[in-house]
Amino acid sequence: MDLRFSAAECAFRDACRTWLAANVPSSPLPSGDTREGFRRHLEWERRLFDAGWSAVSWPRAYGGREATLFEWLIFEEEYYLAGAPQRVTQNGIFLLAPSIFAFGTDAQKERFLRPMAAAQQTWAQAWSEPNSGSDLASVRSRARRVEGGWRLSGQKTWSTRAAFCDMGYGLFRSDPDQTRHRGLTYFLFPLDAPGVTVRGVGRLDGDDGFAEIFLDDAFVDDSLVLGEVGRGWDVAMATTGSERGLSLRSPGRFMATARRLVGLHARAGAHAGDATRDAIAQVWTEAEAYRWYTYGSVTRMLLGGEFGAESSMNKVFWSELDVRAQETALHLLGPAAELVDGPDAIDGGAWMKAFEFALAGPIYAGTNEIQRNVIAQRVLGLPRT
Amino acid sequence: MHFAFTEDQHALRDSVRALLGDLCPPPVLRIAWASEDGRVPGLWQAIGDLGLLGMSVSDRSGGLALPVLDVLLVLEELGYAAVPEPVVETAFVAAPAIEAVGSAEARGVIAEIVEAGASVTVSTDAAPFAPWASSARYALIIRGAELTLCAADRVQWRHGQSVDGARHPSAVAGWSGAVFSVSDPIVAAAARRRGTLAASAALLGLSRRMLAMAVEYAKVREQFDRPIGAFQAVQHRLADAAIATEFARPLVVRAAWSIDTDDPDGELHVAMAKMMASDAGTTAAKAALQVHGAIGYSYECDLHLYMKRAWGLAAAFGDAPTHRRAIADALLGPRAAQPPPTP
Repeated sequence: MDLRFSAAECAFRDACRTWLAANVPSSPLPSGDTREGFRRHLEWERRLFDAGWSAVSWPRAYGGREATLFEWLIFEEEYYLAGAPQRVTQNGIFLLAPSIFAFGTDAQKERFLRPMAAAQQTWAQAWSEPNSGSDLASVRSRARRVEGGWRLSGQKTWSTRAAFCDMGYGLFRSDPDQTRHRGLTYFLFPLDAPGVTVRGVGRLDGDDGFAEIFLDDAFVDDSLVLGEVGRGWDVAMATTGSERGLSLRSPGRFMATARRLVGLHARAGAHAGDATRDAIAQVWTEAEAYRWYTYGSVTRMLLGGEFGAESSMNKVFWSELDVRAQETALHLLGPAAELVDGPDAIDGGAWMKAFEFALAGPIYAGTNEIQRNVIAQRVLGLPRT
Repeated sequence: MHFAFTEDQHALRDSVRALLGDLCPPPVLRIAWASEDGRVPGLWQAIGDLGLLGMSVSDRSGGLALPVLDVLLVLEELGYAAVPEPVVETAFVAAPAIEAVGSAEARGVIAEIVEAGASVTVSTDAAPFAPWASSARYALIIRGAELTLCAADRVQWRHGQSVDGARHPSAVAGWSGAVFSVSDPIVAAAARRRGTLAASAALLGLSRRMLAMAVEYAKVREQFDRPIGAFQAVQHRLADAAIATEFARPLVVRAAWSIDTDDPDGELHVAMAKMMASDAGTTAAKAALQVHGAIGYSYECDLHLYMKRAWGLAAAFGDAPTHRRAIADALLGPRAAQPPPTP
């Protein structure tokens, strides 16, 4: 047991901190979930890439710097501490890329990874359908075999930033004689291909980067199939593991949230009652718990362990912590909590925005109801419902 | 950074777990409940034979000189088995404090503990009710910076009854004659931290025990033609108890590290650990009881043996709200004086 970072890890942290201090924009960019904001965020992504920070754990050949898992966590801690812009490339880098590394051909790795890290090509996850959310295996979108490729038809929804991205990825039913998770194929597809229509959907928080994707016999060639035909479910489950686990929400995010909450209390909390003060203490402590839990998980992974159903415990914990943290912030704001603009809004209404986004946490990346089922069944060994 | 226990630490845990599984199953706990002193004949001796009474005492004094991290998993196992003996009080809290006092009298008591298995009960400000006081050889009484060690029969006890039938907690009304009485804020604070951490570790073990019992019950109890564990409401309740326990654990480990490394924030880290562990214990107890249904409410079901230990430990050495308040004060500074209400 050694709870200190090594000299190399400390040096890595210093390098992150130094670069971020010199490069993080001094005022926040407009939301990456708006068209103009997305464009500005891509400029930021390119700066990250040019300095080797956009995908730190990747091989150098693909634009990474081969950082260890702990170094990646350190980078994330520093990134959030520095208040750096949201990562609009995350649905590619954190959700798709692990599948490409695990299931992609050499040609696909060469073709897609570096441009992804460089934000030259951006990706949207086309996962859910109007009738398939938690029950992903019920997807109805189809892939029809034709000469040299497939024709994709169907509808995908709740696709983050699909209105601004170049490419989508998702599951299509390639064998009409199979049901549920059998006979699915994982496709990568251009969002501007003939037959693909992307339509923005308004979100609770006002951003327009959510989209529906309509596919009407859109052609994709064989090189855009990821993994084996008919084995799409296996590829998807690999993605979902990282989505629910470490890759999506590193502790740095919540440590920074807890710090900002303490900072908000210093600025706006003079009349905060005991209950609100106690709530801040709870948020802080839970963010610490999440940090050390993650260090434990990473240590186990480095010792050869798998990060399987544990990732469900992770996901429930951080997503519900985030909601409580943002609610506590609103309590500090008192009646000003509802103001999202205007001279009396605090921090330009950022806290209400953050609260709205936090409410999505228990829904995306597998709803917390599903996660609790997984914990009960796969961690505790209770029988299937 | 390497956040994992070693093979040796696991091996010690495993041997203690096996011993306690044999020597301290629920029927034995019931013997303790029914006995005059709340203890189990032979159990203290068996634990002493493992050398555990000297766990925190220097090897110069015949102990094992183990850092907290080396015994943390053992502390959890003592909780898992709800051991009805003052092992933690004697070996983990009192012995290192007595050794730190360093006088000839203190050294004599250490020798008695390590060589003759003398037991010590402990009373502190935040845990004033000394468990197993009626059968202890010595009592260590900590009030502020004052540490007083008395022969237990020289203390005026106000014997009480706990909902936990084994613990036999007693308040200190006074004493006549002490082996030593010193003022040492550092040693006193260290003893309080250890007591708080040990209670946290025990609560993790108790949570795990109660959750395991509830899971087993939910797998075998059938209603509506299926195990009740197949119902989502039951699954989700138990999942939440598991989450609470698993996320309390890393903070208990981190607090142990902080004690071992004399971290200046050790007090805060222990408070965070106890807050999370207390909440995990009470959450697990309620979830386990609810899942057991009516039978969990019965005396014949073993669950209550562990629930009641958990209730006692959740409250001792500062309950969750107390620590939450202390953490808030540490993070945010003292609460500003309230302005008068606007008429």
